Amino acid sequence: MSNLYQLSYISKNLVSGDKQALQNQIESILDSASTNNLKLGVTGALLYTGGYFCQVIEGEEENIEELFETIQLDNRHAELTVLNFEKITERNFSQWSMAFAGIEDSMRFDIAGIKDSKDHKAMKKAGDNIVSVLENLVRKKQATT
Amino acid sequence: MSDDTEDKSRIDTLTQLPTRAFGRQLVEKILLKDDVQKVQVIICEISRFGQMSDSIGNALADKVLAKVARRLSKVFINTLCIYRTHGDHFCLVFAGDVDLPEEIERLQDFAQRPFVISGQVIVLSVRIGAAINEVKDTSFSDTMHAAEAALHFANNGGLKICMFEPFMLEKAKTSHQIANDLRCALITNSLELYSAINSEEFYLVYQPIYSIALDKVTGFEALLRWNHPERGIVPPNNFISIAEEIGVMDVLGDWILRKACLDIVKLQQASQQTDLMININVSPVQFLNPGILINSLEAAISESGIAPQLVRVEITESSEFIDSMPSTLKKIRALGCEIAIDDFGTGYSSIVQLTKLPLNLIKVDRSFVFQLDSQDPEKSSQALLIARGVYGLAHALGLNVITEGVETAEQLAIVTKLGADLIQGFYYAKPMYESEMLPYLQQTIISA
Repeated sequence: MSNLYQLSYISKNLVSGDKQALQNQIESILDSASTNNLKLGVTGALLYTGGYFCQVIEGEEENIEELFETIQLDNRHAELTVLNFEKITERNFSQWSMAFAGIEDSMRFDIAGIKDSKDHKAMKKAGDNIVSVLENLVRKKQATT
Repeated sequence: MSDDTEDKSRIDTLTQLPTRAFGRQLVEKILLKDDVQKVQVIICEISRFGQMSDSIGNALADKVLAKVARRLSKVFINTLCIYRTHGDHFCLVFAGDVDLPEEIERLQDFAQRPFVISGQVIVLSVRIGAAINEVKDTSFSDTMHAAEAALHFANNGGLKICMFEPFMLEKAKTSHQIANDLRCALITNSLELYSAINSEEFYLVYQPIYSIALDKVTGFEALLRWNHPERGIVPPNNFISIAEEIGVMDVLGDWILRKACLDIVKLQQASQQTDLMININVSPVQFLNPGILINSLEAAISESGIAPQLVRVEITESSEFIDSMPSTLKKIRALGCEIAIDDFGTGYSSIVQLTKLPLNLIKVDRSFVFQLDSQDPEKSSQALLIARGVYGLAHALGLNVITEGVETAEQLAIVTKLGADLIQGFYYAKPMYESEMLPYLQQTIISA
């Protein structure tokens, strides 16, 4: 029986430099994510918005556990906040080992509010919100390419 | 020795780190062989790991330790060695001139990043003790000892991080000796709690509580004292926290409840004042074993024959045990006893808790009273405003107020005007021996 989980988080970007440097770093993140995630059977999406990474990963429990630990130790980001971690019946990004939803200069979410919130329900809501925003963005991007 | 046995003595199976003995050996060998001038040690402890273990179960708690170990090994590749000293304590040993404060900061950062384990997100916090020593002056074991003393100091002082200073060793030594002496003085036979204290070293003193409305002493607060055969009287502040830490508070608390109830019933009979109340302090850690606490209270009531409504349990609010408190307090109320919250206005007690906990009284902390007749007019008028608010709020919630620390006629006049119901303090009497209570009561009746 499948033991599928989805995890959404936000984290602060520590990559310095101009937009090009950032773009290069994101490309390298996506490259390594594509290879690693494929091996682990993990799918997901990434958005860069106003200095923060918003990421969703989904896969078998133990693979998510392992990948999350690797993500944690990546020096390119810090202040990681898990928004939601739950069992799912089907994946939202099944066709993507790591879909890229884009780079946005301005902040799309109330990150400070989300980070300060100790309310489990509010965090879950923020997590669900990020999943649906990422889904829409990925779909739009897919339609234009 | 077979390879398997050798592995077991060298590798901690839970964390896959070196065992403590092997870790020490490794470090000592390197320190001898290489020309290392300085050794720096960080010991970190996962805060409230025991409580977390109770709530998530031992199997998952073991996984947490394994994950922490794995993360530390990946992040701190610049160490001589990382190993688990015991339980939830990890030790990181650095050689030479690493920037220790920076490493401490990194440790805090990485240990506090979330873990995903068995379908759960777990966020930890750590307490840290650290020490730096010159290799030529001290052994590695001295440096370990120093870091442990610093961690102990951090724990006692509620600090997150503590760097070793020599006075901490002396403090740690004293507190270790007190813990030993406490264990010796208490026979922790859980089947016969009352007989557990077979020592004459512990005794209770009693401080009168005076009712303004009735103009007489209406009860006493029982206070624990320890007359140590060598140290003399050990102040409660110096041993209660250690008793809580080493897990003997249930035994001590049981003895206090039973002895205090017996003493007050004896006094009720001798003085013919059958409505005298007894205030008894219950430590926050006793709420971790609510079954024992309730049993002790029931036994104290039935053995002494005291009317339960004359027993007043005094609690201090503690954020750590707040979750287990309300249901236990309800059981205490159901027995018929009253509940007072002690030291109100300090520490963790908050206005919100007044409505959440099933209280009868609040005890205003003595620090407020000291400021009421302060020579500094700004301080005294501020204290007056706060006191007025606290009394007003308590009365609005239907709670009586015991005012502690009243020492002068001026203070008494002020708190009486403010609406204090019950008074406790040196103005009336200092805590007294059991044998002094009856004469004291008789004398107050005569002088009234």
